[in-house]
Amino acid sequence: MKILIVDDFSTMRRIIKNLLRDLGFTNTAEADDGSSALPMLENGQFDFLITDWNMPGMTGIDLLKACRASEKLKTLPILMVTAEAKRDQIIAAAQAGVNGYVVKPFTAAALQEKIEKIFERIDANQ
Amino acid sequence: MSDKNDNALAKAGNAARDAETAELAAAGAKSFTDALLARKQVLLEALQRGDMGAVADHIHQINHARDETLYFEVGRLTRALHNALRDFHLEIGLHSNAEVKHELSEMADARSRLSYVIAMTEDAANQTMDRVDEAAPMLQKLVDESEAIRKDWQVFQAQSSDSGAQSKALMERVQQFLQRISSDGQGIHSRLTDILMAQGYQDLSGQVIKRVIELVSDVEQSLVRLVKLASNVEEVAGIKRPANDTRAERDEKQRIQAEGPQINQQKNQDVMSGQDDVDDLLSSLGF
Repeated sequence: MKILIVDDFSTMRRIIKNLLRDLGFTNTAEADDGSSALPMLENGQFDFLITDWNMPGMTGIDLLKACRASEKLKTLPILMVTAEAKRDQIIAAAQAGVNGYVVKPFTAAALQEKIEKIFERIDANQ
Repeated sequence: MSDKNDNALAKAGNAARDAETAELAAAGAKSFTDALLARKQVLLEALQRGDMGAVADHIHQINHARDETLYFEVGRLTRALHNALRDFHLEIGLHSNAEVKHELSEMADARSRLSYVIAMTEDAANQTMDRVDEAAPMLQKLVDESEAIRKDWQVFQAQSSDSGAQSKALMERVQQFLQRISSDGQGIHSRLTDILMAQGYQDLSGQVIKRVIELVSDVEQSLVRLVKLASNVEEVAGIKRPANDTRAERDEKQRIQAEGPQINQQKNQDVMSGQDDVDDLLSSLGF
């Protein structure tokens, strides 16, 4: 299981990386915005994407849309972990095809639950 | 002493200028209204006569009056701005000696100070996480080792032929202590995770500070534009609006544009108050 973590704050990337390690996911990579993440996703074999929304350069919502428009990445599971908490934003992310949405500040348990739920649903659909 | 006097004078000056500004603004609005009213009758008459040349002429004159009011307002704002900037520099003492001047101009540099706060909090968060990263494996080793010893100890305890009350009590205490290392180890590990999660403050506060930095830059740029605009007042008549986005697209962009952490959740009904609300919304969307 290879996971890409995208956030412009290195602090948050490190927190998520540590949490994933505790959950047993040790194969992670990092990017600091959508425009650096997209080529990594296109060229690498990632199984899961965790992305922030508010980033300079390419935002998380644009990255999400770019993934869904890509033949290779259209089914990639994507979890948004963001401080953006407006109703319209969450609806926009859902419509763009996000698989899960966690608002910051979040707990370790909340992140774990969302990740497990995403994989349960994927398993159920297969 | 003289500083106090300067301040008092500056304040009195400000108050006088504020009053003057309000008066001038009222005068500006009034002159345009007057010009409009004065032309109302002749414009109506021209319309009734069907004299389109005269109608166009009157409308042109009304426009001209409006533009003049606008030029006047821009000029007034610019003067007020110049005064405010000049006063600001005077108040923080930018006219005094070079050393003080250097320090104060640094003080005035809000953006670099805010960037410094982001860098410092990032550094502090990383140091905290370094310690957590060091402590976690140390703790894990302790727990693993005590688990291994506990298993051996249980066997040893069962096989022990020492039936003295003192020895038995001591063996039991060791057994319980080894067990406690495991259970407390878990408790400590979950607290280390809490410490790690708490470092998320750096991201959230950093996002807010970044927005303030953007705001300061925007205000700065707007001020520069305003001053340029006033110095070349003819441009005012042809105010250009961005022609790219249609209104609907702009609204949509604004509605879902990234805003960073919500610092006034109670006041904004559009904002989810926590993960539970977000989950409710998502499940209503079929998630």
